[in-house]
Amino acid sequence: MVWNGCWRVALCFDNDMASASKIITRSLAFSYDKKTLFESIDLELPEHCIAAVTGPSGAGKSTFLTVFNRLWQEFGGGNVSGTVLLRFADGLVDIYREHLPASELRRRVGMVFQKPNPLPMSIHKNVAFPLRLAGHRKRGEMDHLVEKALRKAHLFEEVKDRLRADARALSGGQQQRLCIARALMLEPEILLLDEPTSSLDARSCGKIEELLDDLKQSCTVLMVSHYQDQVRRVADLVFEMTDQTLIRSA
Amino acid sequence: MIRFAERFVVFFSLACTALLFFCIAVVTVYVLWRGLDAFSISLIFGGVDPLDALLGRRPVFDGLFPAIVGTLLLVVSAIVVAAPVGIATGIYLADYASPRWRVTLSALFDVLAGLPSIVIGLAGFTITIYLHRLFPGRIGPCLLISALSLGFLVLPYVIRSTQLALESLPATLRLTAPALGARHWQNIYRVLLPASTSGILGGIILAIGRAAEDTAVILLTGVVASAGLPRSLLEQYEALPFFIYYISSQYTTTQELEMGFAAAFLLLVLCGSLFLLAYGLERLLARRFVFR
Repeated sequence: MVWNGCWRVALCFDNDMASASKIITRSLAFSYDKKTLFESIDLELPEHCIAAVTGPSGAGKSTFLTVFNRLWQEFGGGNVSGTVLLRFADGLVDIYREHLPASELRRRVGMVFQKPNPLPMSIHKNVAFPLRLAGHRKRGEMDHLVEKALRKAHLFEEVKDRLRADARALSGGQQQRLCIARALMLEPEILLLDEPTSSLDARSCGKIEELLDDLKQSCTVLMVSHYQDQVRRVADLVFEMTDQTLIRSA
Repeated sequence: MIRFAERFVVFFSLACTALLFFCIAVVTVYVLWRGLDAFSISLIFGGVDPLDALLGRRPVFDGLFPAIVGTLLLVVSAIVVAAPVGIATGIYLADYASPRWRVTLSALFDVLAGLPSIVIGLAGFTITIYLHRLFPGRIGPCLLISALSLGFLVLPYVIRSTQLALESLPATLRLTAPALGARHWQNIYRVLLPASTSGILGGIILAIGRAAEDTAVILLTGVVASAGLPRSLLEQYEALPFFIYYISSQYTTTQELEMGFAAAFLLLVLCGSLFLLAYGLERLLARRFVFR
């Protein structure tokens, strides 16, 4: 990994203008096999907003999202430079400089993928999965938390009678809301959504858009979307990835 | 011309499959037919009452019962040895090894899979002699050494099937748990391994078949024509494949040869039962993973 920034920059952000920003990047660049995917990205996102990134396919939008939970590190290869600061409840964290374990970071920065990816388990087990990973075992409490997360994702009423059924039997839209419920289980402060509606029909798509507006109350949402009209409907801030960098759209 | 070639390929593939199926059917039906002909309760238990034999109250001398028990013990202990080591090595190759190590070790295990069993038998035999010198009178050719050698023989099947099962999981499944905060081993233990159960069990089923039929390894490491039920892992034992080999090379009457066919039939039934057991285990594990 190559590092260009210096940690004093981070401190100065903390003291000065970054008091309300949830996500801050400075000179962020990403390259893969010596090919630059994007560079010089300076971004500041306030809390409780929905920021959308649009742009042509293959421009590196999805990779851009994985920079914020370091998921790109799972693929092997790749190189990040610059600074990424996330403001969590306990302060501003430089996610590449401070020795924050990836698992810890990903519990605070949730992610939902383009294609719904329920695990081959029951609905209940899927939603409870992140908490189980974190070591929670109390059954009664778990049921309550699962219900809460499913309600947040507007799914509970539809599945309350079949929580022990295979999650893969749900419809595409329900599966995607299940994945959102699962990502919300750990109450993340930041949620990354990678084209969350692109594999869904118009009705399911509408339900997820409704849900996004609610999500804003509890977290900051950074999403990638192909659909201009969707972005216009739901996003507070819109960026476009073009010419290997990110520019603010009107 | 191209259409003709395409039709020819389809026809040729179908013909080969049909031929193979026909051969398997002929061999199986022939063994079943000849074996069933000679099959009787006394073939298994000799003159001893089956209940007495099963409870170990009276030894069976002129039946196949000790050979059945010997084969069963042999297969189970070989798998108990090979499965954990093989699965762990498969996990290492698929999830931890660097690309260079992965290629080198995979090639090595493929070579190991192609090793003639007589070579492994010879290695087991050499180790037995060495151990016999080290602990005179206590360790000789026995069930344990045969099981370890057989375990070594079937290890590559378990390793490669585990590795392949893990490597062929879709990238989306691989990334799901890490994105939810799973550590690497948590992802392997809670998602990747359960999702590869059927692939891994495929390798274990192959290993069961290989361990049950192998004669060369046990011939050199502990099997004998007449030993009765083994009382411990450090004793000599009887086994069905060795009985089949022995009787078909030494038979003097047609009846004795028929006994060989009956033993082959029993070996088929035994393997079939073990396969069913493995399959049942897979279903059980899959259900547990999905619904518990």
